[in-house]
Amino acid sequence: MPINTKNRIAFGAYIIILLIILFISILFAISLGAADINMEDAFGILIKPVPFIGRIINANYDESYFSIIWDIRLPRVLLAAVVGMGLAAAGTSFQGLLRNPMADPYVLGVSSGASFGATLAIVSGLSSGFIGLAGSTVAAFMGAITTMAAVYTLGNAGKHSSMVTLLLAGIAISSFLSAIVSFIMVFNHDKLESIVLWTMGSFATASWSSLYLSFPIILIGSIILLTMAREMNALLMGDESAMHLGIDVSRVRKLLLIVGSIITAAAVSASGIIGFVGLIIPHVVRIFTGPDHRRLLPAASISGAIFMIISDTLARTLVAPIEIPVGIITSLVGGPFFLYLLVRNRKQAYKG
Amino acid sequence: MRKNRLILLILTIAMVVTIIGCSNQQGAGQNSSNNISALQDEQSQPASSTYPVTVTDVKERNVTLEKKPEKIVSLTPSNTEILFALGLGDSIVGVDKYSNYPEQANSIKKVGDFNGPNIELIAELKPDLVVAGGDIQEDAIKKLENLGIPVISSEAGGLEDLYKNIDVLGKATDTQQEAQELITKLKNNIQSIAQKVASLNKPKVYFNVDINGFYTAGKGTFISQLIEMAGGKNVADDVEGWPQYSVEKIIEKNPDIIITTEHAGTIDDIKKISALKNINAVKDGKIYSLDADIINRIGPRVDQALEGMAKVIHPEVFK
Repeated sequence: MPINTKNRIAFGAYIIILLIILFISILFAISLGAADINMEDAFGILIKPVPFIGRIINANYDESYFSIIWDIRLPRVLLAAVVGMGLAAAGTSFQGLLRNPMADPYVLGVSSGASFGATLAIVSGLSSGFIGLAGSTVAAFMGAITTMAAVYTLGNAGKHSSMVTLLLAGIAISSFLSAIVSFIMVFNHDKLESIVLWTMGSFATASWSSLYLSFPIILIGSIILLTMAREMNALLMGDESAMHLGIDVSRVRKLLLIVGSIITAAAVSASGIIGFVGLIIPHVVRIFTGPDHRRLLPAASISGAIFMIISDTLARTLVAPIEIPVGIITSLVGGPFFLYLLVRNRKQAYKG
Repeated sequence: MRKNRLILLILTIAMVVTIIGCSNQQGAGQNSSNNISALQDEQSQPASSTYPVTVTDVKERNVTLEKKPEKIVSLTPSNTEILFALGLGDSIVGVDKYSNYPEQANSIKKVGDFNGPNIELIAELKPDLVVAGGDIQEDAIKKLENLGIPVISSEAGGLEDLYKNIDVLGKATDTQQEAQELITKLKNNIQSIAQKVASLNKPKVYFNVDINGFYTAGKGTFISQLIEMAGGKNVADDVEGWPQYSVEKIIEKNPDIIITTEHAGTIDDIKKISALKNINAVKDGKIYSLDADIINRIGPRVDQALEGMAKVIHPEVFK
C-alpha cells in the first residue's frame, strides 16, 4: 500500500492543520481560567520571559499572575496535551494490534493497577513521592507497571499463548485489583471521595514536576510507536500474512504491548483514569485518515492532545472556581460527538 | 383575718426577695456571659422528664420514649460526645467506629461506621434509644424503627441545630439540667471568643480539606461559619459545599492563613507545593494544622474548635 504523491501532500496538509489547531488550543487554554486575567495580559505574561521577543512587552504584571500562568496553566495544558497524545497513540496501537475496535489503553489492566497503587498511597497518607512527584503518582506508576508485567507473564504462560489469553489475563487481573480497591474503600470511608475522584481523572494538581515522569516517557514511547506503523499495518492482515512479509510477529507484538502499556502507565499516574480518549479518538481519526497506521497514528496522537486540552479547559472553566473531573467532560463531550460521526459515516465507521 | 395577714406577709417577703434577686442579676448583667445564663435560668425550669415523653428532633420527627433510656447506641462521634457530656456515658452500649472521644468511648462496642451501621449488631444490643446522624443514615433509621427501636436523628448543620439537638437529647434522657448547662456553657464560651475578634480586621483564610486536588470548605459549611466567627474571611466563600477549588483562584485571592488538618495534608505537604510558594500564608509561614476530630465535629467541643481557629487567625488577642 504505497502512499502516492497526491495523497502524501494532502496528508501533509492535514497534519499541518492539526498542528496549527494544537498550537492555537494551547494558547487559548493558557489564556482561559478561573483567575481574572484577560487574554491580552495572559499572552503578555506568557511572552515576557521569552528572550528577545519578550522585549516587546513593556507592561508590568502582578507576581501572582505570573505564577498562575507559568506555574499552573502552562504545565497543566502541556500535561493534558501529553496525556491526551499518549492515550490516543496507545489506544490506536492496541486496536490495531488486537484487531479489536473495543480495545483501549486500559485493556491490559494498566488502569486497575494504577488505581490500586494510587488507592494505597491515598489511604496510607503517602502524600509525596520523589523528585517532587505526588505520592499517588509514583505509586500509581509502579502499580501500573507491575500489573502490566504480571498480565504479560501470566498471559504468556502457556506454550500456545495468543492475544486472547493475554486479554483474558488482563481482564482477570484487572477485576481482581478493582475488587481489592473496592475492598480498601469499604474500610476507608473517609478517603472514599479522594479515591473515586482520582479514578475519574483530573489535571487539577498539575505542576512542572508532574511532567518530569510523564513527558519523556510518553514522548519517547509515542515516537517508538510511530516508527512501528508499518509493522502494525502488517499485523492488521493477520499473523500469517505478517510473517510472510518478514515480520517477527511475536517480537513486534511484545514490543507494542509493552511500549503502549508504559505510555498508559505514565499517563494514568499523572492524571488518573481518563476514559474515552484512548478508545474514541482512534475511531474518529480513522474516519478521516483510513486505517493506514502511518497516517492514523500521528493524526490520532495530535488529535488526542487537542481533545484533551479542550476537555481540560472546559473542566476548569465551566463552573469555575469549582473543578470538574476531566474524565466526566471527555465522555460527556466525546460520546455524543462520536455517535454523530458514527451515524454520519455508517459505512466506514470501523475498518481497522 | 389573721390567716389573711399571714398570707399577705408571706407574699410581701416573697416579692421583696424576688425584687432583690432581680436587681442583683441586673447588676451582674453588665457582664454579658452572666446575662445569658440568667436568661437561660428564667426561660426554662429544667424539670425531670415524665415518661412516656415525646420529643421533636432536629429533623422534625416525633419520637416517643416509654421510659428513661438505659441502653443507648450512638451512630456518630458528635452524638457520642454529647451523650457523654450529659453524663450518660455508662448508658451507651454501642457506638460507631469513629467515636473516639472521650477516651471511654473507645472501649464501647463498635456497631458499624458512619455510612453503614450494622443493624444486626445494633438489634442484638437491644437498645431503647438509637441516636443517628441524619440524611446519610436514613435507610438504617427506617430499618431500626421497623424493629421498634426509637431513633433520634440529628443533622447538625450549625450551632442552632447543635443546641436543639442537645436539648432534644436532654429531654429524651431525663438530663435536661445537664443539657441546659451545656448549652449555656457553649453559648457563653462562643460569645466571649466571638467578642474578642469582632472588631478586628479579617485575614483571608483558606481551609484545606484534601491537598490532593485542593478540596476546600465552601460557603454554608460549618467550617466556613467557624472561620467567620473566629474573625477570618473564608477565601472559598464563592462556592458551596466541599468542592475541588481552582488552584489559580487560591493564588489570585492570596490567603493570609492556611488551616489544615493532619490527614488532609501536613504543613510540609503544603509548603512543598510550588504553585503556592508566593501566597502570603506560605511566605509568612502562617500554615496551621488543627485537630480534625475537634474541628470537624459539631458537638460539645465546638467551643474548642472555635477557639483553636480563633487562636491561629488572631493570635494577638489570645495570649
